[in-house]
Amino acid sequence: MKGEVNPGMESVRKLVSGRLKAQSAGPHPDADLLSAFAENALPEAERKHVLAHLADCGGCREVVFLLSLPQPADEQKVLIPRPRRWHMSLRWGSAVASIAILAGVFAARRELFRRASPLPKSAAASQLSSKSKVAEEKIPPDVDAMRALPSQSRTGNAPIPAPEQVRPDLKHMTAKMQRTLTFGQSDEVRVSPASPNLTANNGAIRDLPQPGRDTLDLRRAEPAFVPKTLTANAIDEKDKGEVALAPNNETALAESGARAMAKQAALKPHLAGTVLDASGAVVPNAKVTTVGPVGTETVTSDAQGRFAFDVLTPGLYSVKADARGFTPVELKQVAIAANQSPSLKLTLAPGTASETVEVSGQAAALELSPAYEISPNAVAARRKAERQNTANAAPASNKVAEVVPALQWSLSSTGAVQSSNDGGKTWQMVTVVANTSFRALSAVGASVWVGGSGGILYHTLDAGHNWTSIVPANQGETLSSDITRIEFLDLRDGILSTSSGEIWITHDGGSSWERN
Amino acid sequence: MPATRLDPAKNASLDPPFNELYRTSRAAEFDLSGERFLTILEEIAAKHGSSVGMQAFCATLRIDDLVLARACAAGNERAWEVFLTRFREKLYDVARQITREDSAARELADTVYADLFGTKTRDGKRISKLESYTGRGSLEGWLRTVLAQEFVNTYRRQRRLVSLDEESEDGVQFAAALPNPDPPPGPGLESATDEALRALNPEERFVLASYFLDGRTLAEIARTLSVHESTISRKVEKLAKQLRKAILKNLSRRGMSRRQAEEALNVDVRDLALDLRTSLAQESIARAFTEKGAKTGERGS
Repeated sequence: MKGEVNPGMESVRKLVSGRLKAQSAGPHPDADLLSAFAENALPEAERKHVLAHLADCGGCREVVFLLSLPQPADEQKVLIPRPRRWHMSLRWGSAVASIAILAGVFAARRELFRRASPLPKSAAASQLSSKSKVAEEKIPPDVDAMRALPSQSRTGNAPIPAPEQVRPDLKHMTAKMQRTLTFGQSDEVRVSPASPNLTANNGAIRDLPQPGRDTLDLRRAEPAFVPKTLTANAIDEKDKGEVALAPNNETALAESGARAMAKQAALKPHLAGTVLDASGAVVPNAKVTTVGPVGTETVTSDAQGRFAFDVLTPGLYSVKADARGFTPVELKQVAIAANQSPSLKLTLAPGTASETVEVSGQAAALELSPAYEISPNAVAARRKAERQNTANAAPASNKVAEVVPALQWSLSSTGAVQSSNDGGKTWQMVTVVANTSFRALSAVGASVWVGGSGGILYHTLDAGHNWTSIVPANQGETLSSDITRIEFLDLRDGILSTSSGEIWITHDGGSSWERN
Repeated sequence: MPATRLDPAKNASLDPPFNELYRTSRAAEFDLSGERFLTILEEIAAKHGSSVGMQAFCATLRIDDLVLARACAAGNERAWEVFLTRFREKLYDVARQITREDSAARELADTVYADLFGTKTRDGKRISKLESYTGRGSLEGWLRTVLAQEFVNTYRRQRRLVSLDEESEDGVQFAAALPNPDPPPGPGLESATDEALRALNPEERFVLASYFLDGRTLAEIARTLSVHESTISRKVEKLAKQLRKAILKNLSRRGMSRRQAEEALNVDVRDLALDLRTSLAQESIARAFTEKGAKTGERGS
């Protein structure tokens, strides 16, 4: 091609090659400089210096060319969030489903209202309105529904929330629910239907064909709180039989969309509850705020006083409820583990003064002060008083490590776990299991992992107060060789190496594992 | 135990920024005292004559890697454990990638391991090669470089041996090539070329040497300089024209007429067909271009 036939180029090539060869290079740059050069990490002046040497030194050129060999794909295996393209499509899909539901509900309702005839549909509708008994208002149900919508959007939440639901990959189905990487959904409104509806709901979901694990999870799911988007109101109606009685195409579509959404919602771990006043009556429109590992989220309780959050990241959360005319109440350090969906009852006392309540206890059912109840699922962690004080002083932050003053963790030379809360000046022994020594440790905030011989692996979510034994398993195989290294990048993504060269990776805080 | 891990008295002498660096690195875990930590940083800063100030310079270093390497060099067991879990497999993988052959890869990696562990002693003290890592690039990149350097050295030794063998076996063939070197360019042409080359910047000379002398492909050069292949392609063409012009100009400044100068340059071209070595080299150039053509074709499809 051009180079072959260009005699000018050829003569230059020959001359230049000869002269370049004749150059003598100075002392070779050390490995440090060469590697920094290959990584493009040198300041311009030094880079020129290295290049000048490279121009004259064939050996170093060869080294540099070896360094820039394309790396095989398997060497670039790092913990990265999974591709989210399908995720996006799911988001759009659910947005479309929401709109379809809205359209369907409105169409059905409008027709009902216009006709006002003793059709089975409207009979069901009146049944519904008498059942729901929302303050015994004499308002036609669809007016009610229409009013409810703007009032919800007025609270600063998106009118048509598109739930970002993520289904676990099939290959992870052998373990527990997959945690998702969706954050910043503070715009989303979720209302929880009352328990009886929910049971029916779960029944409906159960009938849906689902691959393996999901079905199991749903069956086990407590009929307590399944957060739904506002637009999923259709579910309520369906449960009460109305949609079933109006089987036109649109509502059928809406129904399946709502079902799909409820199904996805049920897969997500969440934190839900009810806001009550001292007499036990529900408090609507109360502002409920959580501060957790991924930031602050606020929702408003619905007409039944219910609220729900997606809890995407296990960790310590503080939950605060506030309503006009009441004393705000705050539950501190509600620990939420990977597979738990606690439900809370937040009871507001009359008055305006601020009050902070510390919840403490174990994983078992709690008997707290009469005003506060926590379901057996909720694990509340006890904190030392001084740490609590610092935590209170700390502003709302998005890291567990900042809510709780940074503890340092280490293994002693004998393999005992120890922690320091004064920057490493003094170390306290932490007992995980008596007479066991460990070889590897990794800590992210209050979440600490320790592992050692024979595949023993323990995890704490509350800075060492409660330890859980974890046995990584994948497709029937369990980790049984010595764990030599644990590295968690955050609360979810971690990697274990064993003495036999196995690598185990989790993307969900240890609920499921991949083996490499 | 806490006392042996970290001596607060020693640590107190560290300035706050270094104290912070020390704390966030795993130095304490690897029994690396604050004092030693600071000494290492100062040594590196002195060696690389940083003009930006110690603190800013330290911010560009891979402190974690540096601490791990130096703790290993100091013989800390925990550090070695961390090092081996992180790099044992990787070293063999990289060696395999460089040598493209399993047994050679083992040999190469083992040699480097011996160096890293420190088989040589000075004043009765084991000297680990990790002692020379300064954290300018990543530790992984450094290890890769050390492997590549070792490979290039070994390979060169072996190549020398092989060529000697071949020479004794087929002496005639090789001897025949030797008495026919490039016709020596006139001294005027030589100095004119040197002058033209000196006028180029280091990167341009690197490109020329890689392309003309080593027969590297445009893609390889582009990857090394982290630029696009087409940039290098344009550069090579531009440089060849530029050099030719510069050499002619230098020759005419030395009192040659334009025609004489062009003739001096083109003499070599006429000799091309006779010169075995040049024609071999020409093949490699042609290959480089064909490869480029093939790649462009692939991209097009």
